[in-house]
Amino acid sequence: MNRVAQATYIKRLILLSLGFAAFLLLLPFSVTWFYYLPDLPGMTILYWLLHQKDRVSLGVAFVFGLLLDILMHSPLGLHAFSYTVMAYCVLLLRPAYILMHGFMFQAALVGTLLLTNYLVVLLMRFFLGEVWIGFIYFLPPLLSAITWPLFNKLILVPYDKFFSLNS
Amino acid sequence: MVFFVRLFFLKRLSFHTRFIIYALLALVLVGLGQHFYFVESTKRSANWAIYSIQLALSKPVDWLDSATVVLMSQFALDQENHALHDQVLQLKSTIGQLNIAQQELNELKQLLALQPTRSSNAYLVGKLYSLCDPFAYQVIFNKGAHFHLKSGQSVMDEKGLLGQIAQVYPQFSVVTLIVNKGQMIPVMLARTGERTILYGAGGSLELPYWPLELDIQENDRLITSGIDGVYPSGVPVATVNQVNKPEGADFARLIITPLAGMFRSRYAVAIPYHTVGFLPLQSDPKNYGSTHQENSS
Repeated sequence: MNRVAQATYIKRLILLSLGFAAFLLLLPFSVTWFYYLPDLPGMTILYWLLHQKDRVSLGVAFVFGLLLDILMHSPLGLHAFSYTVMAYCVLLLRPAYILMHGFMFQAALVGTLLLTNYLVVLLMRFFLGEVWIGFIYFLPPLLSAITWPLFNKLILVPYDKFFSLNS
Repeated sequence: MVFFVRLFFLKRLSFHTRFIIYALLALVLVGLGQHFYFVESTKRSANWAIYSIQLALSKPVDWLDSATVVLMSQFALDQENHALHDQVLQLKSTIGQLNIAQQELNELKQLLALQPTRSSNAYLVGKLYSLCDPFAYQVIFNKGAHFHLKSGQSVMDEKGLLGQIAQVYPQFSVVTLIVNKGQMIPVMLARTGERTILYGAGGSLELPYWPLELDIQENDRLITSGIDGVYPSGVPVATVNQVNKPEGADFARLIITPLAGMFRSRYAVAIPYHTVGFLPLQSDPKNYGSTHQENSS
């Protein structure tokens, strides 16, 4: 298995996973369902920020946030800003340092980062004149923290399959 | 191309600088979106594609619905059929009585030289799909410009007023729910006939300026008054759940819940513009723009 093939495969995997996470937002769930699901787009971008910081960094987070703004019909630039802030926090904390620790630490940190992300979005929404919709708004980040270890296993399933077949 | 992509991702700068640039860019976008329409209009053209994908994705759910009908037992279907039959009979008798009452009302109005009430049967039934933004109190209605829908028309479900059509695309339209912030509905208290304006407050309804001495009770119904000519008159909108008249306050504190199912309702009816009694009758309907054309068709 040569390095070039691996690099292109990882690039494709990043694009696919981010695209898939964004695509899930379009599923015909009711709005209320999304409160009981982990924040998949946020988890996916966090995963790549931690594991592929040379490829996925502030710029990708910004563009992905813009895409989410369009898909979620939120004011343009809202999620772009919050994702940029989140990416900056991850870079400040150093991905390598975070990955040194076990899943418990990582899950707690991911939960905190996503909560901050949600808080930034909420504050900006308040600033733009929206109203409080209840504490249930903060449920997805907590669910993401709980499902973080499982998510880590699942996102690498296509990767593992590909390389076990080719090696 | 690659050069421009590289330039955009600013690989050479430190991540602190890049953060400041991206954050400022995002904030500028948000600010532009608040003050200039072109950001919103560019997003709307993207919305068309997104809504189309959403509608296509909801097709399997619809098929699942129809599959459950096939799997339903004959007995349950028969029961449902009977219940519906009974309902139709009841409704028909009510409509008969209403027609007579309408005739009488129009005769009386003619005596008083008022414009007769006109009703239109051009109602349009469609299915609703919800979006994924919890802050946007909007749903998709699966009928659009192909059915001559126009933005501003009101939409109701089986229980009450649901909202107003905000944007019309060829195959579907976007409905802003009445609980959306900034939505205003001219209503009237069904029991006393007191007219006021009901405000959407983001997930709930508000009646902020109700004087303490005015009569209002729990379980009172609010219906549209039809003053604006947008919402037809007499559509049930909400019930008053709680009335608090604290001492020293200027206005009563009311808790009001909408009757319509909002995100939970699955079918809705688009109602054409009505001009019940408040616009002078014109001999040539074309002079009066879309409001009269809707009624005359």
